[in-house]
Amino acid sequence: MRITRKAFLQGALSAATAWRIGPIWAGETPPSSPDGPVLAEAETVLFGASAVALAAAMTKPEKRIVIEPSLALAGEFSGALRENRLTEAKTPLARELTACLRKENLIRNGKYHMPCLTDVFCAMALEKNVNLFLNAMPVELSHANGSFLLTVHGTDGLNRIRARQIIDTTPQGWRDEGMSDVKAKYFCAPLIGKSSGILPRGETWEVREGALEGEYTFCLSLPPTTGWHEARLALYALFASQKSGPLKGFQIGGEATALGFTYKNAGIIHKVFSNGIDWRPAPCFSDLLSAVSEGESW
Amino acid sequence: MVIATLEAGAVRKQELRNCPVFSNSYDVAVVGVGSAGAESLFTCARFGVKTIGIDLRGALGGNATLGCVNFAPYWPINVPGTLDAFERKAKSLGVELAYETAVTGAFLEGRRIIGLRLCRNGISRNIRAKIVIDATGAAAVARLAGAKVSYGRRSDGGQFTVARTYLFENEKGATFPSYTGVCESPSGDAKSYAALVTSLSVKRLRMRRRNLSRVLMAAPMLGAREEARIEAERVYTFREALFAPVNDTPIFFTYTPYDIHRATDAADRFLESDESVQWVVICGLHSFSFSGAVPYFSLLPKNIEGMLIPSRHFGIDHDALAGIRMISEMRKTGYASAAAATIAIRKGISLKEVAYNDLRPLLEKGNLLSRPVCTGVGFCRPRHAFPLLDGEGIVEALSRDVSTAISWVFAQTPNKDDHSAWAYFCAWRLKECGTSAERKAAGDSLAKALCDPKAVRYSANYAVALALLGDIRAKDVLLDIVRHPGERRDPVVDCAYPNRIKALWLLGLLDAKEAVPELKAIIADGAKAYTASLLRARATTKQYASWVYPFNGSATAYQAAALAAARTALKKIETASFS
Repeated sequence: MRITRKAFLQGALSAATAWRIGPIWAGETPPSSPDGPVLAEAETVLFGASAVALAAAMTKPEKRIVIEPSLALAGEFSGALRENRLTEAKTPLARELTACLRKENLIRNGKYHMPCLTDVFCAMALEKNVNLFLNAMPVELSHANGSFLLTVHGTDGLNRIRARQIIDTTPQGWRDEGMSDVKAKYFCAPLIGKSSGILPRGETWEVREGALEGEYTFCLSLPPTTGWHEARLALYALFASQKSGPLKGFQIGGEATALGFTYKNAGIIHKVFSNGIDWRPAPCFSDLLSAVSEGESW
Repeated sequence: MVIATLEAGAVRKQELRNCPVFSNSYDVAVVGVGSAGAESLFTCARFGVKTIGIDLRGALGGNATLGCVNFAPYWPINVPGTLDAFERKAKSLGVELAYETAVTGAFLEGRRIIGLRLCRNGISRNIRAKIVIDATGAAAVARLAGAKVSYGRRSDGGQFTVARTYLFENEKGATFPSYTGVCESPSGDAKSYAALVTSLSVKRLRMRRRNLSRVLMAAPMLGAREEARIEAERVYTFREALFAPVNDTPIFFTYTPYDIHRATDAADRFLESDESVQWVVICGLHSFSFSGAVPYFSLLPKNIEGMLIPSRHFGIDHDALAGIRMISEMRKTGYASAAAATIAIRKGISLKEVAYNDLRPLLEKGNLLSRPVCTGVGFCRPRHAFPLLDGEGIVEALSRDVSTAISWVFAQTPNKDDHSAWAYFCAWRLKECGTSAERKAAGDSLAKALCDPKAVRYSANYAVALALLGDIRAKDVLLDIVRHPGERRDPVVDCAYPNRIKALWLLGLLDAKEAVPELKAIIADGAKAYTASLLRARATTKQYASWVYPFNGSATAYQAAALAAARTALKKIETASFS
């Protein structure tokens, strides 16, 4: 996909228009909430700007809203520096994404260069008028007249969104309700340096080869309750301990911007929480294009 | 007690009938653990104050780490190394961290903030804090507490660049950052914020297309040089930094380049404040450094108790922020805030009651009160510290074809003997802080030079300096230049900021009502005829970055600048007449 200046401006303009009209149930007047005005109404609100959620939103942008606590799109792949295998694109959106990655020169040897994926999704989201709440998190939820009334904290404070359905694609679920399904977390860092041949690995860590020549990523497996602070301490301490051994010649060049997740049950996870939220954690998809194809089908 | 929340951009306060349940109590809560906040957090912990650090993201350091701002060799910061070091420091000091957590409300008793409502992944809790340090840079908590907040420059709210950065690996295996930015506000509603982030991301992707290096990190946060500015008990201004560089309660001293980080077009500069136009355009001091001595009360939000406001939103004006906004300065605001909070807690007094004599030893302990090697106005190198000039000295420095701005970044000049920028600044300084006798003597020297038939070629230079001195004797010559551009008094000089454009703006500064017909005629013509002869000049941006010297030899750049200068002058004269 090539984005020209004209197309970019047109996209931005139509995105603005779409928002003003709102991802609304056509023809209905938004009912007011006793707690304050409702900013938008949507058929579906998607928690987490994951690849699967973005694909779902791109398919029906006028009916869906994505809420993401960070600025990263498809962060479970691009931010977590997850395995970057590119499988066969079987659906239109998956093919479009593959074409975008190729256009940006991000594909090599059946893999894609991960950190830029977030911006490729930004380009697609912009072009397809996806309604995004970034740096935003859902803080409260109530039910009324068969729909959800969601309070979201974002850049301009609290806003309310009414929705018929909520699909949560966050790794451990809203209010950590899916935490018991998490088997382990992992934390990765891009490496600078050259491999002597065989990629080193240990009991809890490994070095993976990336798409580009000389691209290596150091990944450490962690207990499921690990937060950023502990993950970072563990990663750097482990790297320091291996620096004169198997990791000789390497240095850490950056950091993953999202923690990775693995689950107790293999395959796609789908649960409905007691509050009615549909939980379909994004990291459970085996690869990027499978996630996109799944989202397209929602 | 009330709880204040921000709802769709507006603060809403609700009276609480019952006291809320607070899960924890702290001496200090630091919100936003970027460069300033992390320093506050660590300093409080070192002083034995019970502190919690709260941030929307999952790391300490803000722009210095997750923003990937490590523009070596000027600010050689190793991103992963800093992330690691910060985390280890947090562990060794035993500070509590609440990552990926938003502040969704503030508890207030009268003017005092006493606690916060936090939310992480939908789970809310309330905490109590004796002092809240808002180091978000976006006034996120100060707004809740009722602080007045302003954005950008006075004329149109325009802000410095906000950027998205990639951290690249080069062929030699070294890291380097590269950013792409726009001059837009990073504050806004969900729609405008998403549009800003996604459009900047697309630009960042294009940048990578040009530079096919490996991306190590796509910076997960926006790099905002400016966001909100909080009205403080004392607002430190650019004017104060330039002309009254000493105050009674300095928390740290600075010597930083004035770098407004805005669009490169010449017209935009006239939308800045009068001080900025005089500094950048008239004197030609873009990117030169200036001294600062930041006062303690600039860290206290006006009429709010129990809060400190380090980071780029502290009590400073838009112009001073053009220099005092770097990571090292922001860390100093963080340290000073922690020092003040510690004293207030130990003594059980309010932050306003903290005596400077108590604060000073802690500031000295943190090495904040050591003065920079350089002071005054100039490059970041002592050899460029010039003595102040009197009238004769100014005339001597300006008796030449003056070249364009000398850049701090490039540290070069077409002619090393050209001290014209300094001479202009001395004239301005005499106006602002010279005695009436000094001003008169300088004015007489320049007025005499204006009448020297052998120096007609330089008379525009003298007139510009005279106008900076606030002397109305400049008017006639400036008017003559405007009426007869390109003639004897206004020669076309290579690589120089054209005097005829400066003359337009200065007529506005001098409230020259007699210039109104000429200004209107120039505006009506789109400044085409007025700037036509400038095309003879050898103007180039090859030697200078376009934000230092905005003319590339094209008619458009000259016309835009002249038009903006004429419009600004006309507006100034008309406003003065009306009032």
